[in-house]
Amino acid sequence: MKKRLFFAVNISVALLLLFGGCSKKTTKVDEQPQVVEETPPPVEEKEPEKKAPPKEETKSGIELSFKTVYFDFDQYNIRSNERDVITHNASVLEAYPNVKVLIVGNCDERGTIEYNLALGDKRANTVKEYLQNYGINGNRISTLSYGEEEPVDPGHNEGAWAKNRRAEFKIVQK
Amino acid sequence: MKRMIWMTMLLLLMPTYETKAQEDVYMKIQSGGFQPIRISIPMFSFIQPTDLSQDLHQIVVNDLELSGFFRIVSSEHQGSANSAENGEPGNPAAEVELEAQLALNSSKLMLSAQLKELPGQQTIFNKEFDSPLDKMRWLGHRLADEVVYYLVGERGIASSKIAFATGKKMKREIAIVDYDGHNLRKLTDTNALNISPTWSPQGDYLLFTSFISGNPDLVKMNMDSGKLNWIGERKGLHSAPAWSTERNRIAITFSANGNPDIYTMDPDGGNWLRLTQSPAIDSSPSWSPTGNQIAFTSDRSGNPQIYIMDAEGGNVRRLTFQGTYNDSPAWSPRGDRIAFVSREEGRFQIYTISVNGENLQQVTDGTGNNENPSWSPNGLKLAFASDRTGSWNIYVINWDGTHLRSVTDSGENVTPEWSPRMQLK
Repeated sequence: MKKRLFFAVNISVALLLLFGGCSKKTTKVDEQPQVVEETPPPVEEKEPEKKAPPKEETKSGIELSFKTVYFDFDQYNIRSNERDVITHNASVLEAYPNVKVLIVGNCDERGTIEYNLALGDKRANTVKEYLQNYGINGNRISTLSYGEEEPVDPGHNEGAWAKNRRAEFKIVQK
Repeated sequence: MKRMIWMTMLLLLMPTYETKAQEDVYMKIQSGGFQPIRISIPMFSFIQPTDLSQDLHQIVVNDLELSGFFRIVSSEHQGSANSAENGEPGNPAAEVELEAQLALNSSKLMLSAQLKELPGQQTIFNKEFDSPLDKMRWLGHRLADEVVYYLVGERGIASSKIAFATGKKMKREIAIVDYDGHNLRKLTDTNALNISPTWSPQGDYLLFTSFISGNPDLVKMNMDSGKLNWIGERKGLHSAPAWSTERNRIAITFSANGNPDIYTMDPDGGNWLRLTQSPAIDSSPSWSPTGNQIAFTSDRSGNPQIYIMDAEGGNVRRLTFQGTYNDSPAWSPRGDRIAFVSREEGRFQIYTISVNGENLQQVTDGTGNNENPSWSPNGLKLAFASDRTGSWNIYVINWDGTHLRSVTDSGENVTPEWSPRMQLK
């Protein structure tokens, strides 16, 4: 049963890729093959894992630390002022080729629990796509949505909401 | 004994609207000068000295009041007054009377009930019911539903339950409660996030989204054994399941490769079919009662709106055009209306709209945020979650916005889903 299920979904995905024609997807689809070719990670930069207990830094001096990406209400497109944040995170991933991350999408408390799960999922995956377009292998990035379940600020005002609409990076493998 | 139908369903004033083109309408709520049936219910008798008959009486009275079809009048006035006109102004004469006798027979409750038309004492029904001693509430609901059936012409909903998620964010368990707020119990103890329970057509399973494994999976609980079965456990979001009675398929939001879309599957998790292809969010499916159509939320227009499509994904059309945030569609079991949540002045309210997109009506009055509407099995009431008191609780309201009452009153309770009419388990 599981096999069939995989098959069915793979077919659907394949169809989407084939017929995604006029949608925004096209650009992303075009870029995907390049991403795949980069799969074997460079081997020379294994060191940071062993050394540097206080601050893990590569030769290039980039710290192993990710920044959170923030969103507008009910939106999952990347704001222009957040592009630098993702680019920074992409460069960290470049500098630490063995690192794998989980991107968790979150929402503010407004809106329904169910829709916010979908919105958080979309936010996490929009960031993932952005990183893939930058050249990071998608195999290193998993995604998850907690919807409105995990606010960083429990307040009920725009200040709190703005902090809660976010995609957070969590390191799952160093 | 002839079955008597006093009226064919005129509970709530409802503007008539053209629905003849809608195949999904199989029972239409009609407008009319509805007057509640005046019923007297003398205290039930009991062959042993105990307060059980009093408790049972209270359950039945409460059920009949909540049904909206009745006005409970004092039983003292029914004997002398020979017509409604002869009753006292504040306490008019009863039109029907319900009498019952309760007995306890080796830990079994035996109930004998008579429904009579007044005046004249003509018998409408004379019936016997029984239940285990610890299922007295169910016994009362059973009698109330029978009274509704004989006098109104369709089965009551007193035996129904509401499933929901209870607990603080990230740690919510699945719970159920009787429709009248009694018998609340948790069904899971997972220390994880579980939300959005939905019932199987017979009420013997609950489906819900569970983060037990860390991934938002689709889990099916057997209501007899409590056993959990994972029927959607691929990586990605499984949310907002809905189970079609007619089609015996489950619709769900599933996000493969980061794009939430509507899929359907068999109840065992096999035979997945993808229905939506848009690069936008498609979520929150709700079946029409015939199983031929699905209402869902999509932000393909730039913000979330309600759409309707055929059960195989074709013939998509937009239903809502008012406002910039409409979500959580719930198709009425009568087929003619869809309840949903709309954002208005920064807060979320429940609305209904007819399936042809006309006749938008507000249900909640603007107090607090109100989410996740779910219809009662007779399509006359809506359960929903609201934070109107400062914390989230489950409420029930008539679909026209009257008769609001709370079903839960403590803790954090969200994503309610009204059961079908239930058999005793």
